[in-house]
Amino acid sequence: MRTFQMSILMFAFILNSVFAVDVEGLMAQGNSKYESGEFESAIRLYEKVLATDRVSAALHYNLGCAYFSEKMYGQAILQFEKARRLSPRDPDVVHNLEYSKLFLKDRFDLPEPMPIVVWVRELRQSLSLGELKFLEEILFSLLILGTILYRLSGGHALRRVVLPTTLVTGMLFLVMAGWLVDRTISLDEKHAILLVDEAAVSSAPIPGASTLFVIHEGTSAEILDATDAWYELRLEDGKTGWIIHEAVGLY
Amino acid sequence: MRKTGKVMPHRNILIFLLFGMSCMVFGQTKVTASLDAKQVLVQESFTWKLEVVGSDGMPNVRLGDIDKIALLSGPMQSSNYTFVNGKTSSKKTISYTFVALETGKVVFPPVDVIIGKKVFKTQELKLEIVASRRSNGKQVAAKQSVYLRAMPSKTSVYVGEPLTVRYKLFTKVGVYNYQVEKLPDAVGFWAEEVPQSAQPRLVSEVIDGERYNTAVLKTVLYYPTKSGELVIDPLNTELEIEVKSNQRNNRRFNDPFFNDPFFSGKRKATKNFLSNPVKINVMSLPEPRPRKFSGAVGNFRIRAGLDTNAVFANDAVGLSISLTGSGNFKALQLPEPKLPEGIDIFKPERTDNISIKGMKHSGSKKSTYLLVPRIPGEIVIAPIEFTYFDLKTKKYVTRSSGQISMSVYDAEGSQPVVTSGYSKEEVELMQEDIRYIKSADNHFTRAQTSALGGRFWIIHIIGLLALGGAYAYEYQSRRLQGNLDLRRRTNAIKAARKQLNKATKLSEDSEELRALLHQCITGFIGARLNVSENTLDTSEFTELLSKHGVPSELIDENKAFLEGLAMDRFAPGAVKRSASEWISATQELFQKLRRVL
Repeated sequence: MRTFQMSILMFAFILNSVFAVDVEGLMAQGNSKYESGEFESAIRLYEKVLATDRVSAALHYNLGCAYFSEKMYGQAILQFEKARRLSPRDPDVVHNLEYSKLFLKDRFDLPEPMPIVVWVRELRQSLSLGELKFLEEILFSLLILGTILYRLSGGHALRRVVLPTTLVTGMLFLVMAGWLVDRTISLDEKHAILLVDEAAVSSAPIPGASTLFVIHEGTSAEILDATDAWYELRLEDGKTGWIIHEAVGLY
Repeated sequence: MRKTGKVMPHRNILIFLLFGMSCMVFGQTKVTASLDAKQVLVQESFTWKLEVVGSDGMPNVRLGDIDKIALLSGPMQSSNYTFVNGKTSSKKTISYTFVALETGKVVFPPVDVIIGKKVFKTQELKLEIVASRRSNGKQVAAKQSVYLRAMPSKTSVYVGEPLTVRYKLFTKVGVYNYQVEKLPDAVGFWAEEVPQSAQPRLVSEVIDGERYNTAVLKTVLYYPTKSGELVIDPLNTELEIEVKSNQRNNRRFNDPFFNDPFFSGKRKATKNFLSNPVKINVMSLPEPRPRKFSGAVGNFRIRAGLDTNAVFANDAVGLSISLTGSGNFKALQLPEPKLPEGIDIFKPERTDNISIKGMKHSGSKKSTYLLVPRIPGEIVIAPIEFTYFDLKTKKYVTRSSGQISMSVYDAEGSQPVVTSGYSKEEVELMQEDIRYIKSADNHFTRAQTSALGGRFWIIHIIGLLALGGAYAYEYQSRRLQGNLDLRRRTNAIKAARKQLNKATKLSEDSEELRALLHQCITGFIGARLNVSENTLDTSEFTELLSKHGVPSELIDENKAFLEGLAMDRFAPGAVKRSASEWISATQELFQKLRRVL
């Protein structure tokens, strides 16, 4: 019985390691194809890795580079965005993402937001899911500790220090928890990037609805709503409309 | 049972009556279609009317397209209910107003009228449109004192060739406003109004021996977008004009003095005016068309050039392509440059400067692209060509910008050039290239799910439990504390009485008796004021009592009592008081204290 258990464990271990080698091998093959300029084959190999349930920032990044070299800017931006999700402060990822966006056909001239808004937005973007989670946990623990101290300190002088600290911690906690909830609930279905050259955005999620406007490859939008075949999008400039599933990639 | 049997027949009769009435009402539903004229002149308006009698619901009608006439207004709906001798009758009317466009016979086919779930068919109606009595172009309008005419600049054009239509008002009477709200419908045309001042210039003209004031109300530029016989619908507008008042007919006296216009009773009236429709023969452009032809008609010149002919690799350089001339600018697109390998091209900045001059659109259209050459060397960009149909020569013309070349030098640390449309950061970013792949990074994780993980939940659950525990602890300890104090307070009187009784029962005069009496008073005060009485001395009792607003006489009495008792206890014989005297004094004090505490 014991040997049987052992053998199952061994089998699982071997399977696991074989699987890991496979992923890394595919990735290495993809990299060498990229290095020799065969971008199409590189894309195929990277996509094979993606088909397993293994992901890495480097994989999305390399795939994005390969798509960029094939001038498929929509896919490239999508992959760089996914890489940034996993590794938000990687300078290469950020650079390539910004650089690819130079090739977009749709540009929105929006008024410059306030510096504090920009700063908060950047801070939010620069935190990975793990970091967000960790920060939220710390703040939560501090908040609980502060509350308990406050309740039990009675008329003690300690109370004067504990109260403001706990209030500040509480506010930070609320912000962090909000970001975390937003990030986890909408992990896959929050933003869409157009992958085809040009697509019509319709006024309603039915075929034959009137076209409101046309967007071009690589333009990203927030997803507001979804039906079986359509997404409702909101562009950076606030315009909304419906688009079919096939035209966009989600991140 | 008998009763119901009697009632039943009545009810049946009632139901029968109601049913019969409704049947009658239904049977009476009558649908009639009519025209208010059998014969109309070209440009005259007429009304098609549908009347429904004896139905509650508004009927549903669809009139198809009918040749030779155009819809002016409608549907207008009206309802009419009348009670005559207790009978209700309802009449519903739907009417459409049409205008006759050309001579001939017009047949209004039978129309299906849907009322509720029933379909009624109307009869066929016929109408004849005849030419006006004077058919030499001036038409019947010449006899009218005010009329509107549409005057096209030409009636035969190519697709994409502009024509203008002037809508001119001829009037013999005063006109108070010249506002035209809506341009006429023109299927197959792209229209733009030529701007003009709100108050048109009045010009005096003589037409058929009669003097008219004329004013151009609107001038519209039309670009046909398809070939064939196209019609621009009549301009339909309301104008405020001067009309003669009806009062004039009722004049009592016919004196020349009162025939002066000042007295002639003219007043303002708003009237509807229609111009004639305009028929345009649109010719399609000659075949064969050049492959690069994209629909431009007019006269154009194309130019293309670079900011500079010598750049460093990775520097941004502007390539501008501009098209000047006149023609159907709105419908055309600028050609895009074809670039050799090794140049990145970014989204162009587009500027239009087009205005209407001499009854056609002229001006320029310009695109400025940003190029970033990556490889040093001589770069040649193929000439940019533009093909259009020239209206003067009736031929296709291809214009070319000439060859564009630049030298790209290899250099480090060159200064980026900022061109409008991109921010400085973006242009700086253009100098760079995409960064290389990461080949060493083999850090894979399982695809992320939205699960937050065990640690997250454990921390939150422990935290909430701790918080709950702290609150529970706090609540419990408060409750205990509160209970003890309360019990002590409510039991204070009982405890004091007990001690008094105990003291009274003591047979002999002793130190113990005095201790009991002392305990009785101090214990009562302590319990009532929620302090521990054992730690307080006499002066502190005084202070405590005054803090709680006890009258000063009572405080003094209490003080004297406690001091006296203490002296009697610890120095026997100093105070001459018997045990019974002490007991009654205690009782007296206790009663007084009880009243205030």
